[in-house]
Amino acid sequence: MHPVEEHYLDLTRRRFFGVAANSIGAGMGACALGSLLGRAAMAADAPKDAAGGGGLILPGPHFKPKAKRVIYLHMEGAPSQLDLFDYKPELRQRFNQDLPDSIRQGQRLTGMTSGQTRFPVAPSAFRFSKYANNQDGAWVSEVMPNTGALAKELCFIHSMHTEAINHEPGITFFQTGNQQPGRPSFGSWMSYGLGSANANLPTFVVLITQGLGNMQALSARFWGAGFLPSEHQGCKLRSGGDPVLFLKDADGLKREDRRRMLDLVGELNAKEMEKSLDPEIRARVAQYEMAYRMQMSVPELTDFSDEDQETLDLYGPDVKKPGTFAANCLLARRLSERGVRFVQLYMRGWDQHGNLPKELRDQCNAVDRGQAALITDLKRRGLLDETLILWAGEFGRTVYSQGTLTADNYGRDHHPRCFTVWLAGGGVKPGISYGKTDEFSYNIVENPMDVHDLHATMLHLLGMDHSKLAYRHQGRDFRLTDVFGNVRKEILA
Amino acid sequence: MTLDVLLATFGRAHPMVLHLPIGLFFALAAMELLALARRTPLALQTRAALAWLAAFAAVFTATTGFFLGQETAYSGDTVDLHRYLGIAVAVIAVLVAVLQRRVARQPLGRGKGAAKAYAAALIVCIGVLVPAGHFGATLTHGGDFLFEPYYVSKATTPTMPLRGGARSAGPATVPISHAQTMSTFDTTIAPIFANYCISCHGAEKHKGGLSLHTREGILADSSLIVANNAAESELMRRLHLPADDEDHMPPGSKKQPSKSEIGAIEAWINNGASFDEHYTQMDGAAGGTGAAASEGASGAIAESERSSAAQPPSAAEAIAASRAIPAAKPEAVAALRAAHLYVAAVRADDALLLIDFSAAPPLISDAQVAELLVGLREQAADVSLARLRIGRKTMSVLGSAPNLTRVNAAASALTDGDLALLAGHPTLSELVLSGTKLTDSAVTTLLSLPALARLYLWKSGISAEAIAGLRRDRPGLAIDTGEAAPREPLAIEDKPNFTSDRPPPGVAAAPPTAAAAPAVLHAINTICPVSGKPGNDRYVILYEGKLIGFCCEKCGAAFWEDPKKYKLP
Repeated sequence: MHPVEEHYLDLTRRRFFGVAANSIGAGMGACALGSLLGRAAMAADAPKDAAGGGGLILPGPHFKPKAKRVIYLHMEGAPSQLDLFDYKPELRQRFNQDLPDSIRQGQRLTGMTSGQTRFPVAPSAFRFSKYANNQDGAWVSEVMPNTGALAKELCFIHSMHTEAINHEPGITFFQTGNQQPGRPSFGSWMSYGLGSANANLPTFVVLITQGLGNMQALSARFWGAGFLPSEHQGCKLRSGGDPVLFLKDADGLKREDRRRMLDLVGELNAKEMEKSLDPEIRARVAQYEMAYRMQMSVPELTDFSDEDQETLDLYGPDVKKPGTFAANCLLARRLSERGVRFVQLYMRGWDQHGNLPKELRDQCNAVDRGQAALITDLKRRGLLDETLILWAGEFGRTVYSQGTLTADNYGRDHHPRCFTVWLAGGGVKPGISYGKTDEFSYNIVENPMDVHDLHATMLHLLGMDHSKLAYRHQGRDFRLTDVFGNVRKEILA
Repeated sequence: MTLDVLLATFGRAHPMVLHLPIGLFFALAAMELLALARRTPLALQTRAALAWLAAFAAVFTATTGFFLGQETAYSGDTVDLHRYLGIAVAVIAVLVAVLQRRVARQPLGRGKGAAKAYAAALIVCIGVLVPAGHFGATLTHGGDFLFEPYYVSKATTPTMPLRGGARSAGPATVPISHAQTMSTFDTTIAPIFANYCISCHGAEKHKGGLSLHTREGILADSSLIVANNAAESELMRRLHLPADDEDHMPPGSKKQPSKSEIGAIEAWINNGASFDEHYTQMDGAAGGTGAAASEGASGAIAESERSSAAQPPSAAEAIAASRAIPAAKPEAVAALRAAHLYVAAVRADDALLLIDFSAAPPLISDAQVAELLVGLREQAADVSLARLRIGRKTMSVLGSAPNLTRVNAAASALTDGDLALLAGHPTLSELVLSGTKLTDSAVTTLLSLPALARLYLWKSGISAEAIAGLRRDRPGLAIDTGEAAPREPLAIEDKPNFTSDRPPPGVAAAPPTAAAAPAVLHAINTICPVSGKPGNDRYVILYEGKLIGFCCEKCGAAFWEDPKKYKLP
């Protein structure tokens, strides 16, 4: 077949399986492009028609979901599990001992610690408390008291492991299921598969908080759409000041005028779309329409004046300062309330290679109250059961100290072999601890869980079969879980 | 570009180059005849040029033909005949070219032996060329190609000219009156095969080793047609593949069967794939096909689709029918979509709907909400009306929604009276009333809901006592009132105290022996006097009868250089 013809056919196919009919692009009123929009596809097989109504109804999730949306709190830099959630009291009697080879098992050292002559065990400098949960209690460190108090809602997974050793591939792996960049992120898959429940807001919103500890780079491709059509990419709201620039129309421009302008631009784009079948045109028009609607919806979203004082107090004093984690948590709750499918909060600064006790305390002070308030706030509004919350870093930290070990100061290097994440809400079994690590929090001894399994389980809770949510690109069906992933029934309610 | 690809491409030139020797030999023969008639000799150069060119072309054609013949799509008697005759042509052509050299400048017929030999060779060459070409054309166009229009015009029923080879496929032109007594395969399926498949999968050509013109050919591969199981039949798989898939059959450039024809084959397979039975009605067949086959399209199926006449019901409709939930009306869904509201199936192939009013303008009225909901009353299962100014009208619609299971009315303008319209709802199981302005009299309504399992009453205006009463009266009901979790932990550990005496993992702690063991030497200090870091028992120096510990050997060396410099405990 002629390569150009093939390209057109490919685009036609992509158009047919492209954006969700119910997403921002749909229902555009006068815009001529509406007729060109395709229908959502949940799977590599043909889209099914739920009510036989000629494509009006979304096919829907593969099976009845428990969760309708996700809030993902990503702790960028890799928080130390030993100092937060993985309680190892025996290490107190191993202060400054060398890490035995039987534990390390010859794991390659990173460039940062390979110069060290010793690898002394550094027990946590924090005191842990035991909080009641639905098993025999969860130990949480003193720097996360509010989170610990919610242990009855949380599902700790102590046995996560990953293959990545450094931040960029690690975060890319956690977001897209592959260490190399180029694939769509979790939120984009959700946008592609389920569409948006609120046509006035983006399906996938990203909020970033600057950290107080050692920060690493954050790339925009962590919330990118990869090879999916661009309208599925995450929409980052700005941290300080205006969450979205230029929301207000210029003086003298009426909203109707803008509507007419967008209609005309849409017609021109529709003509181009007919000619070239470029799906990016549709994405662009969809973004214009979304921007138009966000002019009305975002001011209402970010105006906290309709929150009562009790709720604001729950999040702490930081909530009044835009860009802080607490403020972003409240924004996340408001976004979830308004049907946004995937809200991702990035908290930077967890990369404690040195000065861990001080920096970790500062970091936790910034997040602890906000994330606990988020869970409580969602619960009391009846939203926690249908909102899946994930708190995770990209990997863990080593038990041995990086740099000088003193009685009250140490650092930790990257450690992918085991780390802790927690889930809450959305059909997860509450109040349990899943998986165990060994005495040194170095190796996993029970129920190892990798990132693909986590993704598969989360997709399962969202009502999607992870092996069926696929997109054909470069001749192969890509999935979030690539060719891996098992749903872990043990952590499902 | 591997060698076999090169050779195969070379072989493909055969249908193009074969015209050359034919044209050249006929030209040579015609010119010889003309020369004979005029009694003038043919110019030697002309004869030599034509003869050698023709010989070369014939050899080239034969060679390309040889490589084309390597492709397995062609086998059978016709191919063999064509092949041998073609080789013969090439050989004789060379002979002709060689012989013409010896012909003197004289017209044929009165010449010497060489001229006679040359003429004989030319006649033989043409005599072999014609059948060789004929068989070659039979391979590509079918045996009746030349006179087909004549046959077609004589047929009793108007049929479209069939593709080559169809005539040999069997009862392609069955008179209508016999149609009823013939088997369904013969009347319906065989003609489809004849029309679309036999040209490449028939007697002369059987690409992929497949022949569909005989029963043996059809049955030869057991995976092609699996009786009673069209889904597993390779034939159906190929038919159902997307048109641009390279395995799709018939190939994209050829005529494609219509949906009803594919449906007919599928139905025939699902009903047993019998060659002899006559089905009066086949389950799963598109309704129109049986009639179409006997309607006089014997062998020629109309191009237009008859699929709209009898589409099988979609899966969702089947399920909805079985559960007695009708599928949602498209107009109702479209109305919601036009208002940018979210409506989706709870799960695929389900008639139950999830409706979310998050995108509704904040000032949308109760009447408008009710109007949008009433069209989907029967399918609504999960409705989210948070922060809306809903009232009686919406609640009365919800109250009469028979499959409703979840309502989120958080922070809405609901009052007790509005809520009362939900009283007694048989299936409502989850109700979110956080942030509403209800009063204790709403409790009666809540108690009247038999299926209620989860209730959210934070800041709902219902007093704590009333909630306590509700908990007493309905112990199975999970009520969330939004209190913050108790912050007191079960236990707090003491301030960590670090030591280093835990034995390495895997080694049991050695029990202290009572016997007088040699005294274990411990350093007298725990902090290295040189660096101030924690000391390590590995690095010790005996100095003035005391064992001093250091953090590393460098500090020990430094100490030894100038012991007086450092303060000792």
